[in-house]
This record gives sequence, C-alpha cells and structure tokens, in this order.
Amino acid sequence: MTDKNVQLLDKTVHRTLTIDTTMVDFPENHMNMAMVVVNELSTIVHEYPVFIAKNPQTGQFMLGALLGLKSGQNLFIQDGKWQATYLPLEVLRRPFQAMFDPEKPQEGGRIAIDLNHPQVVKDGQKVFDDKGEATEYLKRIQQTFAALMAGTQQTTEILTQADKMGLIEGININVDLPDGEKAALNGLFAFNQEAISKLSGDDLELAHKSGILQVCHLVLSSGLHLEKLVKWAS
Amino acid sequence: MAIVKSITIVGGGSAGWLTAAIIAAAHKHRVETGSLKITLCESPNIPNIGVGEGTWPTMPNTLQQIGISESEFIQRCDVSFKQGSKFVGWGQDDGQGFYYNPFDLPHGFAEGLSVEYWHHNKLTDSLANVFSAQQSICELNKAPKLITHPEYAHALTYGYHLNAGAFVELLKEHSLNKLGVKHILANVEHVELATNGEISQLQLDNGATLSADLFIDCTGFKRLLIAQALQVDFSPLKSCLFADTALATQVDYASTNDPIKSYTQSTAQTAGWVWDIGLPSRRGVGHVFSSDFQTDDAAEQALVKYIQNTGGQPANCNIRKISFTAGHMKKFWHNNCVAVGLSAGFLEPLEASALVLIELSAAKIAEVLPATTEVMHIAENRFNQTFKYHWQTAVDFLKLHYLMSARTDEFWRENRNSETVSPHLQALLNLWKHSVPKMLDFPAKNELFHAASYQFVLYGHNYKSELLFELPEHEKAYVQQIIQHNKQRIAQLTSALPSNRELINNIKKYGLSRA
Repeated sequence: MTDKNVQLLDKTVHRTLTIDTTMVDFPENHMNMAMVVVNELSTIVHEYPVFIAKNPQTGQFMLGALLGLKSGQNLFIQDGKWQATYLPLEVLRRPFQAMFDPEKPQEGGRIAIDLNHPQVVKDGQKVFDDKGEATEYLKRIQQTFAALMAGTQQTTEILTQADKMGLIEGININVDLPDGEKAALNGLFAFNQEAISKLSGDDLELAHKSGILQVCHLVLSSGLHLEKLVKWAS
Repeated sequence: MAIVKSITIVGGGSAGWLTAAIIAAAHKHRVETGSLKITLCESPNIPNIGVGEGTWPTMPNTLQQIGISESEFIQRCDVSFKQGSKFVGWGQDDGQGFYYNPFDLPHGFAEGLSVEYWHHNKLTDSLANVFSAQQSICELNKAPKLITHPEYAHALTYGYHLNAGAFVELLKEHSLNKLGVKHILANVEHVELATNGEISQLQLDNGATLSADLFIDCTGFKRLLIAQALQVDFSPLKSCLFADTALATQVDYASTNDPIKSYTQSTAQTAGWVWDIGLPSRRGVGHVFSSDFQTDDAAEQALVKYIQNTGGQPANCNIRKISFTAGHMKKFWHNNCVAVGLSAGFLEPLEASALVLIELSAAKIAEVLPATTEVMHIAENRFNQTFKYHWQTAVDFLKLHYLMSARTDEFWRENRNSETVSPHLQALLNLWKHSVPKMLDFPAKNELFHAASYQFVLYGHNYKSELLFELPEHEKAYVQQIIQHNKQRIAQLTSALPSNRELINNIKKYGLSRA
C-alpha cells in the first residue's frame, strides 16, 4: 500500500485530475459498517440493515449501515461491483475527503483528495473542465459533502436526545452461519422498543417532533436485510 | 403509634446535601406521595469547609442512585478520575520509593492466594504491578475508561477528584428540583429538648420553629445538635493518630495541557505527609502534620518546597490553616438525632474517608429508617454498632501506613510505639506474621477496607510475612495464569485508554452517553 498524499482540491493544481467512479473494490471500502445520516435514511433502509453505533473518537451515537459480519468484511462488494442501487453518501464521497485548511481552520471543512488513491486514474471522470470550472461530477461530490455535514449534525442531535430519554440500548447480535460458523457483532445499539412504546405526553411529543420516532421506524424496518448478509456470507 | 414522617437535616455542606439526596432518592416513592418530608435547614452566612475533594469508587454508584448524570457532574464540578492512591517516600528517610493502593480488586486477593505466590517466589515487581493494571495506567496518567463507555461504566474501577464547592451546588440543585427536598435558609438559635431527652424542635432566627421525627446533624465541627444540645461525648484519637493541623492550598498547572494525575498522591514528610489531588483546572495540595512534632513555619516551608519541586508557583498560593482533633463521637445516633460528616468525627484525609463515610451513613439511615418512633432505638443501636466498627477499622487502617514505615524522625518513631496501636490492629499484625490478610479477617458487611487494601499497604512497605507452607501445584498454576492475564490486560489497556486530560476534555465537549 502506498502512502497517502492528501491535498486540498485546487482548480489550478488539479486541473487534469480524473477519477474512476465505477471502482469500489479498494482497501478503504473493506469495512463492515458505513456511516449513514438521517437525510439519506429513507433510501438506505431499502437495501441495508441499519444500526446505531458509537463514534470511537467522540463516543457520540451515529447510524451505520452494516456491510459485513466481521471486521473488514464488506459483503456488498462482489466481483468488483457494489450490490445495491443506492450507496451511502459516506461511500459516494470517495476518493474525496473533508479537510481543514491548516491556515484557515475557521472557514470549516474543505474538499481534499488523496492523489495516491486507487480511484485516481489517467482517463476517468474529469473533476474540472478546461476552463477550470467544477464539472457536474464535482458538483455532485460537493452536494454529497454538504448533505453529509448537515446530516451528521442532525443525526447526532436526534440520537443524543433519544439516549437522554433512555430510548437507546446496547444489543448483542449473534449470527449462526449455515456452515456452522458463528459471528458476534459487538458495539451495536438499537432503539429500545419497550421504552418507545411507553412514551406518553410531553415525552411522546418531543420524540415525535425531534424526529426520533421517524428514525426509529426506519431503522426498525431495515432489520430484515440482515438475513441477506447472512446469506451472502455463506 | 407515631409514624416517622419527617426528617430535618441541619447544615448544608457536602454532608448535608449528600445525605438529603441519598435519603430522598432511597425513599423516592414516600417523598413523592407525601408520607415522608425531608427538609434541609442551612445558615445563609456560614461558609462550607469544603472538606473532601477525593472520593472512593463508591461515589459513581451513589451518584447513579441519586439520579445525577455523570456528564453533568463532570462538566460542572471540575471532576477528574481517581484510580487509587500512590504513597511516595513512606518507607525510608530518603523519600525514595513508592507503592500504590489501586481501586481495582485483583483476582486471587480475597483468598490471599496471589499474595502468597508473590511471597514464595520473591517477586521483585510490586503487587500492584503484578496483579493489577492500575499502577501502570496511573503512572502513564491515563484514564480508567474510553469516551465510548456509557456513564458510570468503566474499564478500570474509579472514583473522582472534584471541586467540593461546585459539588455541593449540584447536589443542592438536584435535591431541590428532582428529589423533592425542602429548603430553609435560617440560623438555628436554640435547640429545644423534650423531657425524654429527644429534640422537640429548633427555633430559627427568622422567628419560625422547625420540628421533625428525626434530626440529622450536619453542622460540621460545631456539632450543634449531637454535642452542644444532646451532650454526647467525643472520643479523641490523638494518642494514636498524631496529625492535628492541615495547611491547604491550590496550585495552578504550568499549562492547560499538563497531565492530570489519575490518583491521589501522598508524599511522606518529617512530621506528616502532603496530599496532591489533580483536578482539571488546578491541583489541591496540602500538608497534614502534627503540631507536637513540627512548627507551622517549618510545615509551611516543607509545603512550599513540595510545590516548587512539583512544578508549581508557591508565590501564587494562598495557604489556609485548618486545625482539627482526630476522633469521633462516642455515639453517632442518640435518641432522635444522628450525626453525619464532620459532626460525626474527623480523620486526616490519608484514605479520603470523609465523603465515603457520609455516603455510607446516609445509606444506612435510609436503610434502618424506622416506620414508627417507638422503634427508633433499634435503628439507633444498629447504626451505632455499624459505625463504631467502621470508624475503628478506618483508624486502624490509617495507623497501619505509619506503623509500616522505617522513617526515623521522632514523629515516625513515636508512631511505631506499641502503646499507640490498638489491640485489634496489634492482633492482626500478629496473625500476619505467618499468614497474609484474607477476606475472613474482615467479617463485616460493607467493610471499609478489604483484605486487598491491607495487602497493598503491608507489602508495599516490604512487610515480611514468613509463610510456613508451600502452595499446591494447581494453585501455583492458577496464579501464574492470573499474572499472565494481567500482563495482557496492561498491554491492551495501555494502547486503548486515552490520557486522563484527553478524556475529561472530550467529556466536556461531547458528554458521555447513557447507553
């Protein structure tokens, strides 16, 4: 694996940069969970099992689409293709990443690119046109980052509120694979259905208005996709 | 039949508010339904002493029971995590060497097995290093948990260092807003006694009177109810524990990124010891000494030197002198009054026993609270029995630290004079000449100090128990397994745990989750 070479995206320096937008089978995607934000949730739950997890840096709750049954396993990548019609924003943004300009951190996150990323190729999708303007592709990437940033904050707020109200609980998922193997998924959380069903009065209104109930129902409906993963794993 | 339906607590320091909160939370249903009324009456103009900035690992559980969010507690009370005590220079005059008494209770300690193995094999590494991860983690100034651990959950057992004043404010707010405690701001002018020796009511300086079925004296060294009104005698302990003065101050960190020690450090001095408690915003440092063996000036010089040697600026420190008499009331509960906190007694803070004794006392009151006044004397007897034992064992355990020392200053030599040692402790030491402290040596429910604590202190001081019998092979193999497992645990925790400072900063920023 080569070292990273991350640079803030610049229309002059990176005028000729092109990206292979169809490639998905590379090390960064070999993960068993992808972060999901609430504004993409209604689409994501049609294809992925979604759980609550904790951000290891902040301890705050986040939503994650489960991609595999053990660390580093992404069952959605098969034969170099992603087996879903909709990809999480967190995956779609690649090979770009958000970065703070060390000289102007107050301006917030800016888009950066790892020039050694396998998706950076010679004859792929252009990022800038001949005049140095953003192509439609880059505009979509910019929208992806905007959606991720707004969505991440909203997701954190909803889940933090749910936790404060005692609506989140730790869960253990043990999967029996058909070949006799067992997979245990740790560090996952779910909405506590009993606590949710007991909500009443002001708490119920708060849970409804803050979006907790809607997120809860979407997450709950996604559970059945776990079976798909078990099938793929065997 | 007279139902016990009201409790009045006099005094609003750590003891008063912690007691109010613990009892109100334990009897939440009765308070909510109006069958028990808890009132705290405090003076509007008596400042809190703010004793006790170090807790035991009992405090997380206490706070959880009361219903306080750990994130809020940490954010508001300048809290850091404490994983035990480090005793520096207690062994020899040169002040070198140290040992830990960590909060984690290692495997094989209750039966004494691990310690016997350690003895037989003459292991040179400390007990706290061979059998616990906490010495290594403390030496690295690391925290006992991760940011992903929920409130009150941990990788390693912990208590807290905290700002006592801020803690009182939080407890007060929580007791009044969430636990239904009533609050009266007034001075008690007169305590009226009934002919049967009970307190009938308090006359307040606002003209009102205050009665209750049970009164709790949290008036600190004043002991307004238990001693002044009820004339219960005090048992001084100075013939055993010589310290009678504390010089207390606060020391700034050189930088806001300085490490926060995850343990209380106690460093031996000529006629006492210096405490060093790391809070996020400052250190609390103080010199506890005996005025029979050292002048105030000499003690202050020693404190100034300590502050200089540990990177502080003594010129910026405002040093406060507190005089005290070690000892406790002969009875803590008398008729319809029970003393909690300083009014019950005071011991030098070598093992941070002040707050834990308040927690235990309040929990015990909640537990034995009689349904009717006719059986109040049964609660009284049970409470007194329990706490007489707690105070005795606490005194013995403190004395043990001094007894084990080989320091040669007069203060230390006199401390080893057998006339200053209780028969109970003397008997234990005789027992441990040829065996190690075991769980069975400490038979009470909720013992303050367990066999492990004694082991850490005794063998931290290189006390030699001459064991007469070898361990059987299968027990040796079991202990070897424990040692191996501990090595792995140290390696894992060392790589996973953040620094105490980093974790506190992150909790202030993000909070800890409930789940």
